[in-house]
Amino acid sequence: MNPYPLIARNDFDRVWIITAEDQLTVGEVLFQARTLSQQLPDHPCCLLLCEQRINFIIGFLAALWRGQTVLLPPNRLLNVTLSLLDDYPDSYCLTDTDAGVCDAELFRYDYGTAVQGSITEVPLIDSTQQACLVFTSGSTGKPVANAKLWGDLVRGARLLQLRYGFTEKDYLVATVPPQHMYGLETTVLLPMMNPVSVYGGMPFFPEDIRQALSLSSKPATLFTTPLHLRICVQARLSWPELRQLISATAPLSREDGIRAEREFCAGLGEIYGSTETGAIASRNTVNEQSWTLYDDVKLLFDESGVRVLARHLPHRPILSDRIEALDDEHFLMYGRTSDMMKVAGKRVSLADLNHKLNAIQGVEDGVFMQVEAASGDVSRLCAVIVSAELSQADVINVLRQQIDPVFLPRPVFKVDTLPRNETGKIPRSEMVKLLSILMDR
Amino acid sequence: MSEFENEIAEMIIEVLNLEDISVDGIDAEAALFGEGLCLDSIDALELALVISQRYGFQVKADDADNKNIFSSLRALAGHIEANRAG
Repeated sequence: MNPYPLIARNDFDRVWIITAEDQLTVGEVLFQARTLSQQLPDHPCCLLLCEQRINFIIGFLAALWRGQTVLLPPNRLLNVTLSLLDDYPDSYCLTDTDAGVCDAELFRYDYGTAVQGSITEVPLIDSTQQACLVFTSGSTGKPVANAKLWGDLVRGARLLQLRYGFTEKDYLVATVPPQHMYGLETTVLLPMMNPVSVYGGMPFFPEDIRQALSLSSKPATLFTTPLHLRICVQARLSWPELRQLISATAPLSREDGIRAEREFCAGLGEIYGSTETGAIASRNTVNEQSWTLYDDVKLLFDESGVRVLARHLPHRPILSDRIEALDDEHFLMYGRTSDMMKVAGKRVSLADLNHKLNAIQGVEDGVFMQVEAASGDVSRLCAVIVSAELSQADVINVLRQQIDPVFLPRPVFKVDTLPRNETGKIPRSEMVKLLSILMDR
Repeated sequence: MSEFENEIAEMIIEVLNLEDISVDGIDAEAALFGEGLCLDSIDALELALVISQRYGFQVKADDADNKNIFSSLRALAGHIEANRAG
């Protein structure tokens, strides 16, 4: 059980985190983390809600230092937070906003108001420490936990670094939240182990992203999503020089890749991964259709599906995508298996959504569908219902209590009857036909 | 609702394909996100893009009052009116 140091970098005077106002060196980040770790409430679990990446990184380090398990929620919806606090009664919330969570013990932290200092002390963390639980929205609406040991997080981040080879010349900016596995690996764990700088904010609109990219004289790497790439390409801004663009959470088409490379004058890479596995493969979207597995990662095809074999994934997680192996290192990916769908990087079970829809009092029949989106667009869900008493808004009001907002049907169509066949199923062809009529209406 | 708020309401409905909602159905003071129209962060990005194209300025999240900008139709219309180019 080898321990690993909390951070695998000893460049204590180099800038680690950059914000519009500040630059924190490695030693200063460590000082903040140690100070905070001594102040955190005495509970085994820390629900880390911090929105600003700088506060998240320091909070993450502090909780690990203190030996606590970090809970990473799929979003900041109040009902999700409450559900997690319910399941983990021994936890408290670490937050950097005023958003209050009733009943829970709340600890506010903002680096800007904390005492400043610098240290070179780096604690060792047991590799078997339960470092974090990363939650996905879950097919039942109840968050599902993915447990990560400290040693496995370190080994996973090393594979990421082996593929990208970041150095002290690199500056990382991300539009993805650090609570998400993709954001956690690229902008929290990787900078804990390599001499890079990272942007400490959470840029959202194209202009925020442009400003964040411009904050360092080093050419930046932008970790983002197909959605943000499309919005940025259309924003007609003048972008600073970049080292590269990296996209994940949903596959990008070659055409969108070409557009993004042209707009940013930088090469584009894609990462393939999941909450269960972390990043396991990459591709150069414009030149490659196939994905290349990270070093030491293998795929195993058995009766339960496609399993991922790697030293840092001892439980051999199953992928929920349809995968075709080309050889030991390369594969093609064809979207989700079974009824799993993805909207804006979040997964949901169609069967479960349909169950929820039909469970609403007053809905006589109903079905969800994913609308094929124009290239690069987010494909939203829509729903078709049969109901004498409920309006579309009534249905949305009920669903809003139960499911993540990105899965809310937009729009909800009302019809007299659904085209079910004699076995009660709705043939996809019939559904497509019905939808095209409804959309034109 | 002012004429400009009406214009912004029409833009929201058009950009976000809110076919089941009419301008009259939007309360200018009601929340756009979460409650009310129930918009989410993807919608905010789409709206910001169209705002930059139509009104010639970039929406920023780190505006100190960002949470207020998208808080209601009235707040959004006020922000656009104050920042629009020309």
